[in-house]
Formats: sequence, structure tokens, C-alpha cells
Amino acid sequence: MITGTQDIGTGSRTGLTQIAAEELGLPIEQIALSLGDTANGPYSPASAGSMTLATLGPAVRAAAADAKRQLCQAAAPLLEEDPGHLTIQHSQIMVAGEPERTVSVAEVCGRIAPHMIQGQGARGPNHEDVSVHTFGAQSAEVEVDLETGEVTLLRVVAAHDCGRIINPTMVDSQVIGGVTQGIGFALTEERIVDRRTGIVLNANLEEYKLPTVADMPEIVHARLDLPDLIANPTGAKGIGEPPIIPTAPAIANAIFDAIGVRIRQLPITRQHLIEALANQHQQGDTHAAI
Amino acid sequence: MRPFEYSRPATIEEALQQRGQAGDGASQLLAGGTDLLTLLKADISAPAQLINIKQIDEIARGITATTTGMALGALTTLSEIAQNPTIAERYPALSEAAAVAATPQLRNMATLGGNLLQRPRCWYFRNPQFHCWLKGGDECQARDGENQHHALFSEECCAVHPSDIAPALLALGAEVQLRGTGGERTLPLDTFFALPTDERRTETVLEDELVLSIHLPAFVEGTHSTYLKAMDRKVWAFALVGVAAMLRIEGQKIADARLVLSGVAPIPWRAQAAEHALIGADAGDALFAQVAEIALADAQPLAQNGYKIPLAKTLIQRALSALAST
Repeated sequence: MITGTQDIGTGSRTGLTQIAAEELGLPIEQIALSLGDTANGPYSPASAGSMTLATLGPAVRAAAADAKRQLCQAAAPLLEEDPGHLTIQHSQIMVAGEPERTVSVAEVCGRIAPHMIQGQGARGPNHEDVSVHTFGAQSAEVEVDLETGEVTLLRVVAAHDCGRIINPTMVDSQVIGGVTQGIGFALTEERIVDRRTGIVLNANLEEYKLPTVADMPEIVHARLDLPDLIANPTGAKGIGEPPIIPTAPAIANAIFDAIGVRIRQLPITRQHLIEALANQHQQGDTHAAI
Repeated sequence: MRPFEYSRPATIEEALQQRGQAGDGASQLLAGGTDLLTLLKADISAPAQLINIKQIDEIARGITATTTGMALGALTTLSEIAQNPTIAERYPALSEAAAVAATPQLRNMATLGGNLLQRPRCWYFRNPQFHCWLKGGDECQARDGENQHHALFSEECCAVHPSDIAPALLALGAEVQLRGTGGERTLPLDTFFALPTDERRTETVLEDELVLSIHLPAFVEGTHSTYLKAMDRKVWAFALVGVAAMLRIEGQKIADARLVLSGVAPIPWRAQAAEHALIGADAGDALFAQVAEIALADAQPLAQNGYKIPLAKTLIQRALSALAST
């Protein structure tokens, strides 16, 4: 499989290979993948907007289907069968419904040498009358110490409709990773800039506080797996960025629910919480905001 | 980082000699290196010579019982302190402070001596683009700058002392043993730490000396101590505010008390007026609330660090309450 797309750590490499393997009826380890180099293969859009799998997945599937069709055509004379009745499973081209009539993909490829089978596929535009979106919701459970401003996250539950889940482990990882980053956004990460000089004061990992393992709550991914076949033939939609978006608002809402103080500034540090609580105390207002 | 000469003297005498030869401020002693390395990288410290003291046998490493209490060698690591069962039993404030300092990796490297001598984490001090007062400049940029982590009690410099160990040791009445070319001297930690002055822009009165060891006074039955620390994440952060407290209660009366705050001053901040209010009084939450007020009465918050006042008061009350109920 050759494509100009790239894997920026979100697992396109694995997801696209899985789609090709499934369509071709070959084990995943027999798919050699070249990606990340537009000199080798067709251009593809940038990995952005959580679209890589939803854009490239259908194209890969179409290319694999094209190669499969050609393989079946090449195998048809050997099996003395109409190519339309052939299918590929476990690297064997077989007559549908007659599993004893088979020839291996390897043998077919050997016989047709030096002729080579090249499948190509592309993905067309989305339907004009629909718009494809990933939907999601998260909820957070927090504990707030009213005197010290300490926030302890107990649990974050994330449910995201990303269409068909191509690889459950990777989608779990993507969701847990996104929530983890969202927790930093909500509670600890802040770029401190000296207002007079514009110099960033905490450009190091000591003072720019990423959340640690000890800051992590239980993170539950409530898998949905709802294939959206209107979106595209694979039924998969993107899950790259969505998990990071609702986490901070969910945590801020949970804090509001716990203490009645609405905080509109991130990260929600002890400083902000203690100040907001003091404010609330002074005003006797349960909806004090900073 | 600038080039430097590196040496590994075998004796204290040799180390002191090398310091003398290198000249004023031109050498640095290296032990755990967890603070020194960051200072070198940021060009805050640029010694011509680095003198590794880890292999010097005369500087003790480890924790031993003495006739007058406990001795902790300057090369003892924070991990060793955190894991020592006698410290945990008799001097829990120290044990708890060591356990919540930095990270396991840093605690395995960092030494007790180096912990007492570490420089502040103030982001103006640590940034080579600012020539702050503590580095010999004319102005403290933090005073009117980004000062949410800075001091409530300060004079020229408003950085806070970063150590968790030091306030715990102060609360336990520790002394520090030093050795210079003129011989040895022992100082209460109280006088070892001193607010930086125009002439001495450091946090200690250390001269051309090595820290040899720390001595804890003999354990008096009925003494309880603890260290509480508020951070901006659950682990691996310097204290926003820390409270080291020691109480000895006889019957209902407080026979002895110490209260030392971290994160509020350029040095570990002993709240002596609060201690006086505790000693001789009847233990109880009303007293502790009153003591917390006394401890923070002279606080002078900057624009962004006022939250440290209620935070410190809460930690003081919680620490004292916890000790009174053990």
C-alpha cells in the first residue's frame, strides 16, 4: 500500500493497513505500507481536522477492492469460474460457497508474472446534502477542598461517536490520551509570560506543569461503535482531536456543581479557586464568577 | 553551558584548597547535582571549576544515632531520609517532607547538603534574560511582575526558598555542622538561613565552607511533628505553601511547639510569634485558628500571591489539629 499520507501518532498506519488487509483477504502482516513520502505515491490531504482515517480509509478500501477484482480476474481461468463468483479469504482465492475450489494469491501472482497487479482508489467528495461530524460528550467527577483549593479528579467518562471503530485499542488510547491532555489544559498547564517584556517565564518542564500520573483519575472510554455508512463506505469518522475538547469544560462544570463557583479561566489553579471562593464568600453570591 | 575544570579531591582539606586556589566564586561543589546542573545550563552559575565531593569519605553519607539525637551526613540522599524507619517514627515531619519533595528519580540523586543550599526557583532568577537583584542586579522583577508563586514575607528579593526538608529540619530544632579553612562550626539552622542582604545575596550565611552534617536533637517522648504541602499538581512541584509543625503536649498544655512555613519567604520562615502563642496554652482548634492568624499577621502579599495567606492559615490549622489528636 502506497500513500502520501502520514501518521502523526494517531495510528493511521495501523488503521489503513487493517482496512487494506480486510478488503484483500490477506493477513495484516502481508501488507507492506509506504507512507509519509509523496515522492512514492499519490498525494493525500494533510493530517488535520481529525480527517485522516475518514478521508484515506475509503480510498485505501477502494484501491484494495480494485486489486482484489484484478486478482479474481487473473484467478478465474485457473479455477474455471466466472470472476464475479470469486472471493479472497486467508490469502486464498476461492469460489464462493465452494471452499474446496481454491488457489492461493501467491500462486496467481506467480503465474501472471511479469504482469503486476496494481489497484488504485480514491475517495470522492462528501454527499452534498449531509455534513459529517463526530459527536461526543464527557462527564467529570471532582472533589474540591474548599479551604486549600485543591481539586482532585475522581473520574472522567468519555463517549464519542466516531462512527465504526476500526481498532478498539487505538481508539481507547486516543480517547484516554485526549482526556489526559484536556486535564492538563483544565488544571495545570499554563504559559506564564512576563507582561512587561513578553518573555516566557516557564519554558521548561519544571515550571510548565504537565499533569503527572498522580493527577490522573479513572478515565472511562464508553465505546459507541456506530458505523456511519452515509459518511463514507468504511463507516468510520475521525477521533483525532475530539477527545481533548470537552474535558476542560466538563471539569469546570463539575467544579461549579461541587462548589457553586463558576471559573472561566484555565488552568483552574489553587490561586484561582481560592480567589473565587473568597469572592463568593464576600458577595454571598453562589454564582460568583472570576 | 560553559567549559569548566573538573576535580575529584579525596579529602575535605584538598577540596577546600582547590576552592581557595580557584578564587572567589570561581568554583562550585558538586554532589547530587540536581540543582547545580540546572543553574549551569541556564548560565546562572558559571564556575571555572567543578569540585566533586561525593567520593570524600570524611563527609558522612547516611543516618546514624548519636548520644544527643541523630546525625545525617551531608551526602545522604532524600530517598534515604524518606525511607529511614527511625526518622519516620521520631521525626515524621522530616520523613514526610523528604517523601513529597521532587520525584523519586531526583530524590535518589539529591543530597541533604545540596537541598539546604539549593537556589530559589523564581522564574526571574532562573532566566538568564533578567539580571535580577539576587544575581547582583538593581531590581527585583518579580515584585511587580508575575509573582503568584512568590513571597509573603520579604525584603529585597521576593523569591521563595524551595526546600521542603529545611522547614521540617527547622521545626525539629536541627543544627548544621560546617567546615571551612578556619575549622568547624555548628549553627542552629535558624541562623544558617538568613534573608539575603545587599552584601550577601544568598539565602545562607555559608562562607567558604562545606556542609558536613545535620544533627537532630534527642527525641523527647510525646513529641509529634508533621509536614503539609500544597502544590499545583499532585506530585513533582515546589510548595505553594508548606507547613512544618512540631508539638509536644503534656496533659492539655502545649509544652513545646515549632511552626515553620515554606513557600512564603526567601528562607524557611519560622513563625516565632505563633510558637509563643502555642507554648503554655491549652491545645484546641480555637487556639490553632488564632495561631494561624498570628503567623500570617505580618504577611505582605504581592499583586498575585494573596491566596497564599488563607492557604497557609488552613495548613497551619490542619497540621496543628492533626498533631494535637495523635
